[in-house]
This record gives sequence, C-alpha cells and structure tokens, in this order.
Amino acid sequence: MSQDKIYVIGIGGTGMRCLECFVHLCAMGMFDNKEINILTLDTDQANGNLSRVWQLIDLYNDIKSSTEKKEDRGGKPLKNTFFSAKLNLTKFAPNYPEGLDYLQLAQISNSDETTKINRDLASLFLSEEAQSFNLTHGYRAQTHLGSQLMYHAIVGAAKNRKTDEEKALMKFIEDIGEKEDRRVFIFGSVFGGTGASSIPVVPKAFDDALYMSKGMRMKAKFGASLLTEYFKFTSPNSEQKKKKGESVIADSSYFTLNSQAAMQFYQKDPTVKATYKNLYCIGWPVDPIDFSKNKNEAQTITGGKDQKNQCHITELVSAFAAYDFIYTKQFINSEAEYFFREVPCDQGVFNFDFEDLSDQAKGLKNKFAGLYSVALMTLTFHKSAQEGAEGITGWINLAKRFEKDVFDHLDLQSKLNITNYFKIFLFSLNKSGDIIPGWLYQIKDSCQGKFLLPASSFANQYSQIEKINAGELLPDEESKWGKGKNAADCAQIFAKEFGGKKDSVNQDEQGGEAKEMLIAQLFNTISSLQKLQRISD
Amino acid sequence: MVSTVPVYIISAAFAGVFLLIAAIISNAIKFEGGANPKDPGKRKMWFWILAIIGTIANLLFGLFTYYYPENNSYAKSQLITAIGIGAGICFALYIVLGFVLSATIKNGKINNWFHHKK
Repeated sequence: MSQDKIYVIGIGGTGMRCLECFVHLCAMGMFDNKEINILTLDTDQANGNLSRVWQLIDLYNDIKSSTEKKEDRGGKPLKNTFFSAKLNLTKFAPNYPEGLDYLQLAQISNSDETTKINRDLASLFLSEEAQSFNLTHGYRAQTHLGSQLMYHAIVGAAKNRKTDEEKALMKFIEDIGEKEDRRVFIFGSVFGGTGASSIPVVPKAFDDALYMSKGMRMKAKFGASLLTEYFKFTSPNSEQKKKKGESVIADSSYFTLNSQAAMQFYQKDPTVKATYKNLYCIGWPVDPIDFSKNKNEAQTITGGKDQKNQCHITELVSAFAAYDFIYTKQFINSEAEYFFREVPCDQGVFNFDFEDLSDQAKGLKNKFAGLYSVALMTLTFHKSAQEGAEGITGWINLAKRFEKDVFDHLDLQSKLNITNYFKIFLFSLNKSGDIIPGWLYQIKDSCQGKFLLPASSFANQYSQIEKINAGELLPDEESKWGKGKNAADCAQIFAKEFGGKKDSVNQDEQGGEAKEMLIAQLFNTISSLQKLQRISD
Repeated sequence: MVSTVPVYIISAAFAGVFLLIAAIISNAIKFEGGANPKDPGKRKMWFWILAIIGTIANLLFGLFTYYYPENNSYAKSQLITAIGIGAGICFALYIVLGFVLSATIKNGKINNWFHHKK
C-alpha cells in the first residue's frame, strides 16, 4: 500500500487526544513519505485538548517548515527520519455562539403557527431539556441531537461556503473525493457527546456535501476507532443543573451504559456497516481514570479551556488502529469489519509490548525507542530540560568537532522548536527542578504495569532520569548498545556514533536542509546503534 | 668528535611518546553536552602542556643521562648544543606531528588540538 495522501479526523475531546498520539507517531517517523491531512472537528472552540493538539501540530509544522523557503509551510514528506510525514491542518467547528441552544439554532423558538409543527416534531425526538441546553460546550452525551446537528453543520458548509472554515472543510472533503482509494480515519469516543454523535454520520455527511458541491459520490474508504468508557469525572450536582442552559450535563456514571448502547448500534446500524471498512473496538478493562482527581472540581467541567485532560494509553492504541488502517493492503469485505486485540492484563496490571500495538514491531521499536533516546539525551546530556533552554546547539557543536559545519546556520527558533517538541514528548523541568510529565509520561501513568520500555525509563526525579541508560531500553540483545554501561558512557557512545554518521544522510529521502539533515543524522545514529530494521512501505 | 645522531633520534622518540600520551589523554576526556562544552578546550590545553613537559623532559634526560667526555671540552659543548637542538626538534616534531594527526584523524577528539571548535 503506498497511499500518498491520508486523511485523519479528530472529533471531540477524546478525538483530540487520539490525534495528539497520532502526531507523536508521525514524529517518531511511523508514516514515511505520507502527506496527512488532519481535520479537527469540535463544537467547543475553547476546549483545552483542542487547543493543545493545534499547538502540537503547529510545532510539528514549524519543525518541518523550510527555513530557506518561508512559503514552504510544513515542509515535504520524507523517509527514514523523525518527523517524516507532512501534516496539513484543517479546522472546522459548527458555529454555536455562547448561550445558543437547539431551539434557537433550529429557529423553532418563535411562537408563530408556522414553526409549531416543526417544534412538535422536534419534541417527538428530543426532550425539552435537550432542546434548551447551551451548545457551546458540545452535545453533552445527547447523541441523537448531536448527530443531527453535526450532519447539518457539515452539509450546511457545502450549502453556504461563506466562512474560511466552511471553505476549508469543503476543500478537505473535495480532496478526499478526488480519488477512489483515499483513506479517512476518524478518532472519537462512542460514550461521550461530540465524537459519539459524529462518528456515525460523518461519512454520510461528507458524501452528501461532496454531492452538493461536485455532483460526485464519495468513494473513499473510512475507518474509525470505537473507544468505549475509559475515563470519568465529577458528576453534576443539582445546583449546577439548575443553572440556565445547564439542565443537561454529561454524567460519567452513565458512560458504561452509553458505551454498551453505542456498541450495539455500531454492530447493527446498516448505514455504519455500509459506510465504514474497518472499525476498531478499543475498550478499557479496569477502572476508568478519574480526570477530576486532584483538580478540586466542585462541578462537572462541560468543556472550555479547563477541559485539558492528560493522554491515556487507549488513545495511543487508537492511533495504532489508524496506523493499521492506513497500512492495510486492501479491504476485501463490502461491509464494515470489526477489529480488536487483547493485551495481557492480570488484576489490573498490564504488560504492553510492541507486538501488542503493531504487526511491524521491529520498525516500531526502532522509531519509538529512537525518538525516546534522542529526546532523552537532548534533554539530559545537553542539559536543556529547563524552560527556555535548547539542546540542539549541543548536537551542532558535537557535529562541528567531527568537521561537519553544515548545521551551523540553524536559527535559534528552529533549535528551540525541536527541543520544545522533545519536552512535550517526554518531560520538562519547572523552575524548581520538578518534572512536568510530557506525553509519553502521561501515557505511562495511565496504566499500571509494563509499558513498552523498562519501568526505570519513566523515573520521576531528574536525578534518576539522568541515570537512564538509553542503550538498554529494548529487550532484544542486539539492540542493547549500551549494555552494562552507565548513562554517561552511553552518551559517549552515541556522540561518537553521531560524529561517525556525518555523511550518512540521504538527502533525497531524508531532506537536504540543515534542520532536516541534523534530524536525519540523529535518526541514522540511533538506528545504527539499535540495529533494527526500518519500516518501509 | 662525538656523534649527535642518537641525541636527535632520542628527541624524536620523546616527541612520539609524548604525542601518544597526549592522544591517550585526549581520548580519555569525555565529550561534554550542552551549548558550551569544555572538553575541546581541555584537550587543547593538555596537548600544549605535554608539548612543554615533553621538551623539558627531553632536555633534562639529555643533561642528566648522557655521558660527557670530561677531557674534551669541544665534544662536551657539541653534545650540549645537540641536546638543546634536540629539545627544539622534539618540540617542533611534536607540534608538526600533532598538527598532521589532528588534520587527518578527525575522530572529534584529537581533532581538537588544532581545530578548536566548540
């Protein structure tokens, strides 16, 4: 399978966190030579998880962008290097101004006779409370209402095509419709509001929007993650429900029930079965993680900037579901196929291994442990974990000692961007020297037991992190390039290998700009040390 | 008349031995990370320290270990002159060989002797 363009959609808070995981897989170099078009679809524009994934994609694109050709935003797809995929971001949000409810949106709040029939019709399907809650923070687990509104928001964009967001969405949809074999993967949960409402209707809405715009039918292949309950939060109290527009609030105590009902729907619904090719069922067999823990929340956070939850391993599993979908050679069945895979779990203690996440375990090990090692050494060996510090000059200085001056002209902002990405990926230090967990730490913290790398790889004190042996991360004997050595000696081995790899960059595949070559040289160094095969198309 | 050739050979040997010591010390100094690593400076410093120590050692070795003919002041002065020249040769050879090695063995450590880049 050598799809050049891939389409990935994140919907709702969970969808955004899955997207975050997906972007980190891109940073590891899991999607060589791919141009990935990402759409964020959320009703809640102020959502903390949404803004976090936007910032992450922006940072990724800053790293990829050409420093020579300023118009070349996001760079180009590369191969066998970190940050190999090119990402294009499209944002779309149904426009629900603060305080807007269904009655106002559907224009059935007037009391004249002409709208009475419509109001009666709406009341047949939607309770009074569902029609009158504030839509700004999403669909609040009211999926029957949410599906209708999301469908109309998408089709409405095709009709109106006025705002920049509507135009961008239509360009995204038309681009998918251009070729028959385009693949679209959707991230979202099935137990919440926006994602659960949208997953069933997005393929149909895209198809109808494309037909309205171009007179063509959508022939792209759709896949989605069906994430069932894995988190909970403070349940709403009666005081909160009494407030205007707050009579309906997603209550996490119903998430199990919601999940069960949703899975029955996905198993039987003819539209879903006809429009999707692969559906990945992702569950969580132990107690849901409490997103309200240690936050002192008196009320349910329905959305907004405060909804900025840490990432969870199920979201990483979803990102790997997308990987599987993208690299599936061909789809044989005309109807949706359902996929699941088990991970060893004994009394709530997991044993996650690379083979549990991907069939391309060797390549994954190389890229996953590779980015971890490079990030770790940039932050510790080059002492750049503190806020505002950068560790790329350290690598450039090292390269200079091996008579390689090609990286000399890398600007400070590029160095800061790459270092900042490593901090987001792994960890950073605050002013008092305490660890701020990065994405990978958050994923590890979300489950008990083994998670891919040795437990010592996730030490939570800087003095311990400095002692992590990057050369002993992987279980394979041939990959233990620092066996029996300490962290400082490993850094020496890496530094020497890095210097020796100075002419190893294939500029056609790995990029010819100073920034791309530096990243590629780091990739080549760790790949050579780990002695693992690379993933190829 | 005394032969001064062995004096020069020993001086050359001194240059070689001290160059070897400088190479061993340079390789033992670990790469430092960060924006302002001190290790290239340390290697350079040790190279020059050993250049001086090597020259002085060569001079002292000549002055205290060679046999000086007591009854032949001309030969004695010839030998002392040769020791002085030998020390100069030792120093010059050490520098020249060090420069050549630094330019040819670009392993990032010996290279620092003359190509001091951060």
